[in-house]
Amino acid sequence: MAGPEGRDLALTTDFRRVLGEVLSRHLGNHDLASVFPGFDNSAAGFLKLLG
Amino acid sequence: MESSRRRYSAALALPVALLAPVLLLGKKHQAPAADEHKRALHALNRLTFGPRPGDVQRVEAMDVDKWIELQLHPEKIDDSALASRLDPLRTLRMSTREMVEDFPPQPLIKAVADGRQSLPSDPQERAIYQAQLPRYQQKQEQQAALQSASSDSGANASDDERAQRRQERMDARADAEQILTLPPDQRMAAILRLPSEQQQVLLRSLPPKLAQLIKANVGVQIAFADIGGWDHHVNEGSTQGQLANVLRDFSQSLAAFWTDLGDLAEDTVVVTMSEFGRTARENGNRGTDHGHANVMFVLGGPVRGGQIYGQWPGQKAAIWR
Repeated sequence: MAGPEGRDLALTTDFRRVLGEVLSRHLGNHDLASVFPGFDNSAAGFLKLLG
Repeated sequence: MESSRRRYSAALALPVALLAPVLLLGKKHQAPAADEHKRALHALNRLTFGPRPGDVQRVEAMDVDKWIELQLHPEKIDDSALASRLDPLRTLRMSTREMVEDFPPQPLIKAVADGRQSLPSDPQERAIYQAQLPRYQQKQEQQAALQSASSDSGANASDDERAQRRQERMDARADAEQILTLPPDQRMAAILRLPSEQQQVLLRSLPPKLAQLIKANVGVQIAFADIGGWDHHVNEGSTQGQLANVLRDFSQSLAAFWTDLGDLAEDTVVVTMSEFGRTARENGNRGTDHGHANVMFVLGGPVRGGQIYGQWPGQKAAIWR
Protein backbone atom coordinates (compact mmCIF):
# COMPACT_ATOMS: atom_id res chain seq x y z
CA MET A 1 0.00 0.00 0.00
CA ALA A 2 1.47 3.31 -1.05
CA GLY A 3 1.67 5.96 1.61
CA PRO A 4 -0.55 9.00 1.94
CA GLU A 5 0.02 11.81 -0.53
CA GLY A 6 -2.64 14.20 0.66
CA ARG A 7 -5.02 13.30 -2.15
CA ASP A 8 -6.79 10.19 -0.88
CA LEU A 9 -9.78 9.91 1.40
CA ALA A 10 -9.15 8.70 4.92
CA LEU A 11 -10.86 5.43 5.78
CA THR A 12 -13.66 5.91 8.30
CA THR A 13 -15.65 2.64 8.11
CA ASP A 14 -14.18 -0.82 7.56
CA PHE A 15 -16.14 -2.70 4.85
CA ARG A 16 -16.21 -5.76 7.13
CA ARG A 17 -18.34 -3.78 9.57
CA VAL A 18 -20.99 -3.22 6.84
CA LEU A 19 -20.91 -6.81 5.52
CA GLY A 20 -20.82 -8.13 9.09
CA GLU A 21 -24.04 -6.36 10.00
CA VAL A 22 -25.85 -7.67 6.89
CA LEU A 23 -24.53 -11.20 7.47
CA SER A 24 -25.49 -11.22 11.09
CA ARG A 25 -28.78 -9.31 11.16
CA HIS A 26 -30.20 -10.18 7.72
CA LEU A 27 -28.81 -13.67 7.06
CA GLY A 28 -28.63 -14.69 10.71
CA ASN A 29 -24.98 -15.73 10.78
CA HIS A 30 -23.71 -14.97 14.25
CA ASP A 31 -20.30 -16.55 13.83
CA LEU A 32 -18.69 -13.51 12.22
CA ALA A 33 -15.29 -14.37 13.65
CA SER A 34 -15.06 -17.31 11.24
CA VAL A 35 -16.07 -15.11 8.27
CA PHE A 36 -13.68 -12.26 9.10
CA PRO A 37 -10.94 -13.81 11.23
CA GLY A 38 -9.06 -11.35 13.39
CA PHE A 39 -11.59 -8.54 13.01
CA ASP A 40 -13.62 -7.38 15.98
CA ASN A 41 -17.13 -7.37 14.55
CA SER A 42 -19.22 -7.14 17.70
CA ALA A 43 -22.84 -6.00 17.35
CA ALA A 44 -22.06 -2.88 19.38
CA GLY A 45 -19.92 -1.62 16.51
CA PHE A 46 -22.61 -2.01 13.83
CA LEU A 47 -23.77 1.12 12.04
CA LYS A 48 -27.42 0.06 12.57
CA LEU A 49 -28.12 0.09 8.83
CA LEU A 50 -30.93 -2.43 9.14
CA GLY A 51 -34.20 -1.73 10.90
CA MET B 1 51.25 -5.76 32.35
CA GLU B 2 48.36 -4.97 34.63
CA SER B 3 48.70 -1.25 34.12
CA SER B 4 48.95 -1.42 30.35
CA ARG B 5 45.70 -3.35 30.13
CA ARG B 6 44.03 -0.72 32.23
CA ARG B 7 45.27 2.03 29.93
CA TYR B 8 43.96 0.10 26.96
CA SER B 9 40.44 -0.08 28.34
CA ALA B 10 40.54 3.60 29.18
CA ALA B 11 41.45 4.36 25.61
CA LEU B 12 38.48 2.34 24.45
CA ALA B 13 36.12 4.19 26.70
CA LEU B 14 36.99 7.51 25.14
CA PRO B 15 35.82 6.75 21.59
CA VAL B 16 32.58 5.34 23.03
CA ALA B 17 32.02 8.56 24.89
CA LEU B 18 32.72 10.51 21.72
CA LEU B 19 30.42 8.28 19.71
CA ALA B 20 27.40 8.86 21.88
CA PRO B 21 26.86 12.50 20.85
CA VAL B 22 27.48 11.55 17.23
CA LEU B 23 24.74 8.91 17.40
CA LEU B 24 22.36 11.39 18.93
CA LEU B 25 23.14 13.84 16.17
CA GLY B 26 22.50 11.10 13.64
CA LYS B 27 19.04 10.57 15.08
CA LYS B 28 18.23 14.24 14.75
CA HIS B 29 19.24 14.16 11.10
CA GLN B 30 16.92 11.28 10.18
CA ALA B 31 14.23 13.62 8.87
CA PRO B 32 15.85 14.16 5.42
CA ALA B 33 16.14 10.37 4.92
CA ALA B 34 12.43 9.97 5.62
CA ASP B 35 11.72 12.81 3.18
CA GLU B 36 13.83 11.08 0.58
CA HIS B 37 11.79 7.90 1.11
CA LYS B 38 8.57 9.87 0.65
CA ARG B 39 9.95 11.54 -2.48
CA ALA B 40 10.93 8.18 -3.97
CA LEU B 41 7.49 6.77 -3.23
CA HIS B 42 5.77 9.86 -4.63
CA ALA B 43 7.85 9.77 -7.83
CA LEU B 44 7.16 6.06 -8.31
CA ASN B 45 3.44 6.58 -7.73
CA ARG B 46 3.22 9.38 -10.25
CA LEU B 47 5.67 8.32 -12.93
CA THR B 48 5.09 4.56 -13.04
CA PHE B 49 2.18 2.18 -12.54
CA GLY B 50 3.18 2.09 -8.86
CA PRO B 51 6.15 0.73 -6.94
CA ARG B 52 6.96 -2.96 -7.05
CA PRO B 53 8.67 -4.58 -4.05
CA GLY B 54 12.17 -3.13 -3.80
CA ASP B 55 11.55 -0.24 -6.23
CA VAL B 56 11.50 2.44 -3.53
CA GLN B 57 14.83 1.23 -2.13
CA ARG B 58 16.36 1.13 -5.62
CA VAL B 59 15.25 4.69 -6.39
CA GLU B 60 16.45 5.91 -2.99
CA ALA B 61 19.81 4.28 -3.50
CA MET B 62 20.17 5.86 -6.93
CA ASP B 63 18.96 9.30 -5.75
CA VAL B 64 15.45 10.40 -6.72
CA ASP B 65 16.52 13.27 -8.98
CA LYS B 66 18.87 11.02 -10.90
CA TRP B 67 16.12 8.43 -11.31
CA ILE B 68 13.64 11.03 -12.63
CA GLU B 69 16.32 12.29 -15.02
CA LEU B 70 16.68 8.73 -16.33
CA GLN B 71 12.93 8.42 -16.90
CA LEU B 72 13.09 11.58 -19.00
CA HIS B 73 15.97 10.15 -21.05
CA PRO B 74 14.98 6.52 -21.45
CA GLU B 75 17.73 5.92 -24.00
CA LYS B 76 20.20 6.12 -21.09
CA ILE B 77 18.50 3.25 -19.21
CA ASP B 78 20.46 0.00 -19.42
CA ASP B 79 18.30 -2.30 -21.53
CA SER B 80 20.88 -5.02 -22.13
CA ALA B 81 18.82 -7.71 -20.38
CA LEU B 82 15.81 -7.08 -22.62
CA ALA B 83 17.99 -6.61 -25.68
CA SER B 84 19.63 -10.00 -25.18
CA ARG B 85 16.20 -11.59 -24.90
CA LEU B 86 14.99 -9.95 -28.10
CA ASP B 87 18.19 -10.72 -29.93
CA PRO B 88 17.07 -14.06 -31.44
CA LEU B 89 13.96 -12.41 -32.91
CA ARG B 90 15.61 -11.19 -36.08
CA THR B 91 12.39 -9.95 -37.73
CA LEU B 92 12.32 -7.10 -35.20
CA ARG B 93 15.39 -5.64 -36.89
CA MET B 94 14.30 -6.26 -40.50
CA SER B 95 12.86 -3.68 -42.87
CA THR B 96 9.55 -4.42 -44.58
CA ARG B 97 11.43 -5.07 -47.79
CA GLU B 98 13.75 -7.58 -46.15
CA MET B 99 10.81 -9.34 -44.56
CA VAL B 100 8.94 -9.67 -47.85
CA GLU B 101 12.08 -11.08 -49.43
CA ASP B 102 12.85 -13.47 -46.60
CA PHE B 103 9.29 -14.62 -46.07
CA PRO B 104 7.58 -15.21 -49.40
CA PRO B 105 3.77 -14.98 -49.21
CA GLN B 106 1.80 -18.20 -48.75
CA PRO B 107 0.26 -18.23 -52.29
CA LEU B 108 3.75 -18.06 -53.79
CA ILE B 109 4.98 -20.98 -51.66
CA LYS B 110 1.80 -22.89 -52.58
CA ALA B 111 2.44 -22.22 -56.28
CA VAL B 112 5.98 -23.58 -55.97
CA ALA B 113 4.80 -26.57 -53.92
CA ASP B 114 2.16 -27.38 -56.54
CA GLY B 115 4.79 -27.07 -59.28
CA ARG B 116 2.99 -24.15 -60.91
CA GLN B 117 6.08 -22.03 -60.42
CA SER B 118 9.72 -23.03 -60.42
CA LEU B 119 12.16 -22.32 -57.61
CA PRO B 120 13.96 -18.97 -57.98
CA SER B 121 17.39 -19.15 -59.56
CA ASP B 122 19.08 -16.83 -57.06
CA PRO B 123 20.78 -19.22 -54.58
CA GLN B 124 19.87 -17.15 -51.53
CA GLU B 125 16.21 -16.86 -52.53
CA ARG B 126 16.15 -20.53 -53.42
CA ALA B 127 17.40 -21.40 -49.95
CA ILE B 128 14.59 -19.37 -48.40
CA TYR B 129 11.98 -21.24 -50.47
CA GLN B 130 13.57 -24.57 -49.68
CA ALA B 131 13.30 -23.79 -45.98
CA GLN B 132 9.65 -22.71 -46.27
CA LEU B 133 8.42 -25.59 -48.44
CA PRO B 134 8.65 -28.43 -45.89
CA ARG B 135 6.88 -26.21 -43.34
CA TYR B 136 4.07 -25.57 -45.79
CA GLN B 137 3.73 -29.26 -46.61
CA GLN B 138 3.73 -30.21 -42.94
CA LYS B 139 0.94 -27.73 -42.26
CA GLN B 140 -1.10 -29.12 -45.18
CA GLU B 141 -0.72 -32.64 -43.84
CA GLN B 142 -1.78 -31.59 -40.35
CA GLN B 143 -4.88 -29.88 -41.72
CA ALA B 144 -5.79 -32.91 -43.80
CA ALA B 145 -5.39 -35.19 -40.78
CA LEU B 146 -7.61 -32.93 -38.68
CA GLN B 147 -10.28 -32.81 -41.37
CA SER B 148 -10.42 -36.55 -41.86
CA ALA B 149 -10.61 -37.09 -38.09
CA SER B 150 -13.55 -34.73 -37.70
CA SER B 151 -15.41 -36.05 -40.75
CA ASP B 152 -15.37 -39.58 -39.27
CA SER B 153 -17.53 -38.64 -36.30
CA GLY B 154 -18.16 -34.94 -37.04
CA ALA B 155 -21.63 -34.14 -38.29
CA ASN B 156 -23.37 -36.99 -36.48
CA ALA B 157 -21.71 -36.16 -33.15
CA SER B 158 -22.92 -32.57 -33.15
CA ASP B 159 -26.45 -33.79 -33.94
CA ASP B 160 -26.16 -36.23 -31.06
CA GLU B 161 -24.92 -33.48 -28.81
CA ARG B 162 -27.79 -31.23 -29.72
CA ALA B 163 -30.29 -34.00 -29.04
CA GLN B 164 -28.59 -34.66 -25.72
CA ARG B 165 -28.81 -30.98 -24.73
CA ARG B 166 -32.48 -30.91 -25.65
CA GLN B 167 -33.09 -33.96 -23.50
CA GLU B 168 -31.10 -32.38 -20.63
CA ARG B 169 -33.18 -29.22 -20.82
CA MET B 170 -36.41 -31.20 -20.76
CA ASP B 171 -35.22 -33.28 -17.81
CA ALA B 172 -34.06 -30.18 -15.95
CA ARG B 173 -37.41 -28.51 -16.49
CA ALA B 174 -39.18 -31.61 -15.18
CA ASP B 175 -36.85 -31.72 -12.16
CA ALA B 176 -37.36 -28.01 -11.53
CA GLU B 177 -41.15 -28.38 -11.68
CA GLN B 178 -41.02 -31.21 -9.21
CA ILE B 179 -38.76 -29.19 -6.90
CA LEU B 180 -41.13 -26.22 -7.08
CA THR B 181 -43.99 -28.39 -5.77
CA LEU B 182 -42.07 -28.74 -2.51
CA PRO B 183 -42.30 -26.15 0.27
CA PRO B 184 -39.63 -23.43 -0.33
CA ASP B 185 -37.48 -24.43 2.64
CA GLN B 186 -37.11 -28.00 1.34
CA ARG B 187 -36.15 -27.14 -2.25
CA MET B 188 -32.43 -26.64 -1.73
CA ALA B 189 -32.22 -29.90 0.22
CA ALA B 190 -34.00 -31.67 -2.67
CA ILE B 191 -31.46 -30.28 -5.17
CA LEU B 192 -28.59 -31.38 -2.95
CA ARG B 193 -29.99 -34.92 -2.85
CA LEU B 194 -29.68 -35.21 -6.64
CA PRO B 195 -26.56 -36.90 -8.06
CA SER B 196 -23.92 -34.24 -8.67
CA GLU B 197 -24.10 -34.62 -12.47
CA GLN B 198 -27.83 -34.03 -12.41
CA GLN B 199 -27.32 -31.04 -10.11
CA GLN B 200 -24.98 -29.48 -12.63
CA VAL B 201 -27.39 -30.04 -15.49
CA LEU B 202 -30.20 -28.54 -13.45
CA LEU B 203 -28.22 -25.45 -12.48
CA ARG B 204 -27.02 -25.01 -16.05
CA SER B 205 -30.55 -25.17 -17.41
CA LEU B 206 -32.21 -22.91 -14.83
CA PRO B 207 -32.99 -19.27 -15.68
CA PRO B 208 -29.73 -17.35 -15.69
CA LYS B 209 -30.79 -14.11 -14.06
CA LEU B 210 -29.99 -13.82 -10.38
CA ALA B 211 -33.37 -12.32 -9.62
CA GLN B 212 -35.15 -15.22 -11.27
CA LEU B 213 -32.98 -17.66 -9.35
CA ILE B 214 -34.03 -16.01 -6.14
CA LYS B 215 -37.67 -16.06 -7.31
CA ALA B 216 -37.34 -19.79 -7.97
CA ASN B 217 -36.63 -19.89 -4.23
CA VAL B 218 -34.17 -22.73 -4.37
CA GLY B 219 -32.34 -21.40 -1.36
CA VAL B 220 -29.95 -18.87 -2.88
CA GLN B 221 -28.80 -16.79 0.05
CA ILE B 222 -25.83 -14.89 -1.31
CA ALA B 223 -25.11 -13.96 -4.92
CA PHE B 224 -22.34 -11.89 -6.41
CA ALA B 225 -22.12 -9.87 -9.61
CA ASP B 226 -19.41 -7.53 -10.79
CA ILE B 227 -18.99 -4.70 -13.29
CA GLY B 228 -15.57 -4.03 -14.78
CA GLY B 229 -14.21 -1.09 -16.77
CA TRP B 230 -13.23 1.38 -14.05
CA ASP B 231 -9.58 1.76 -14.99
CA HIS B 232 -9.47 5.28 -16.39
CA HIS B 233 -7.88 8.51 -15.27
CA VAL B 234 -9.05 11.20 -17.70
CA ASN B 235 -12.32 12.35 -19.33
CA GLU B 236 -14.34 11.03 -16.42
CA GLY B 237 -17.19 13.47 -17.05
CA SER B 238 -20.05 14.80 -14.97
CA THR B 239 -22.91 13.38 -17.06
CA GLN B 240 -20.97 12.08 -20.09
CA GLY B 241 -17.52 10.55 -19.80
CA GLN B 242 -15.73 7.38 -18.87
CA LEU B 243 -16.64 7.34 -15.20
CA ALA B 244 -20.08 8.88 -15.73
CA ASN B 245 -20.94 6.15 -18.25
CA VAL B 246 -20.00 3.20 -16.04
CA LEU B 247 -21.76 4.84 -13.10
CA ARG B 248 -24.90 5.16 -15.24
CA ASP B 249 -24.67 1.46 -16.16
CA PHE B 250 -24.20 0.64 -12.51
CA SER B 251 -27.19 2.70 -11.41
CA GLN B 252 -29.46 1.35 -14.16
CA SER B 253 -28.43 -2.24 -13.37
CA LEU B 254 -29.38 -1.75 -9.74
CA ALA B 255 -32.72 -0.21 -10.73
CA ALA B 256 -33.45 -3.09 -13.15
CA PHE B 257 -32.50 -5.69 -10.55
CA TRP B 258 -34.74 -3.97 -8.05
CA THR B 259 -37.70 -3.97 -10.47
CA ASP B 260 -37.05 -7.64 -11.32
CA LEU B 261 -37.11 -8.65 -7.68
CA GLY B 262 -40.67 -7.39 -7.20
CA ASP B 263 -42.03 -8.28 -3.76
CA LEU B 264 -38.83 -10.15 -2.92
CA ALA B 265 -37.05 -6.79 -2.70
CA GLU B 266 -38.58 -6.49 0.76
CA ASP B 267 -36.47 -9.42 1.92
CA THR B 268 -33.30 -8.65 -0.04
CA VAL B 269 -30.28 -6.56 0.86
CA VAL B 270 -27.89 -5.38 -1.86
CA VAL B 271 -24.46 -4.13 -0.86
CA THR B 272 -22.19 -2.49 -3.43
CA MET B 273 -18.48 -2.01 -2.97
CA SER B 274 -15.29 -1.53 -4.96
CA GLU B 275 -11.77 -2.65 -4.23
CA PHE B 276 -10.53 0.87 -4.95
CA GLY B 277 -11.99 4.36 -4.96
CA ARG B 278 -10.87 7.57 -6.62
CA THR B 279 -8.52 10.19 -5.28
CA ALA B 280 -10.33 13.13 -3.72
CA ARG B 281 -7.97 15.55 -5.44
CA GLU B 282 -7.67 15.96 -9.23
CA ASN B 283 -4.62 14.60 -11.05
CA GLY B 284 -2.64 16.64 -13.58
CA ASN B 285 -5.02 15.70 -16.43
CA ARG B 286 -8.22 16.97 -14.82
CA GLY B 287 -9.17 13.40 -13.89
CA THR B 288 -8.71 11.31 -10.77
CA ASP B 289 -6.50 8.31 -10.03
CA HIS B 290 -7.18 5.10 -8.14
CA GLY B 291 -7.62 6.08 -4.54
CA HIS B 292 -7.82 4.83 -1.01
CA ALA B 293 -11.30 4.44 0.61
CA ASN B 294 -14.62 4.79 -1.19
CA VAL B 295 -18.36 4.76 -0.71
CA MET B 296 -20.57 1.68 -0.23
CA PHE B 297 -24.28 1.63 -1.06
CA VAL B 298 -26.72 -0.58 0.85
CA LEU B 299 -30.27 -0.96 -0.40
CA GLY B 300 -33.10 -3.28 0.44
CA GLY B 301 -36.34 -3.76 2.33
CA PRO B 302 -34.77 -4.03 5.79
CA VAL B 303 -32.43 -1.05 5.27
CA ARG B 304 -33.05 2.16 7.19
CA GLY B 305 -32.38 4.13 4.06
CA GLY B 306 -32.18 7.69 2.89
CA GLN B 307 -29.16 8.57 4.98
CA ILE B 308 -25.40 8.54 5.13
CA TYR B 309 -23.80 6.22 7.68
CA GLY B 310 -20.34 6.52 9.18
CA GLN B 311 -18.66 9.81 9.97
CA TRP B 312 -17.91 12.57 7.52
CA PRO B 313 -15.08 14.48 9.16
CA GLY B 314 -15.39 17.40 6.75
CA GLN B 315 -13.61 17.92 3.45
CA LYS B 316 -10.26 18.96 4.89
CA ALA B 317 -10.12 16.34 7.60
CA ALA B 318 -11.32 13.66 5.16
CA ILE B 319 -7.98 13.64 3.36
CA TRP B 320 -5.65 10.89 4.45
CA ARG B 321 -2.40 12.36 5.78
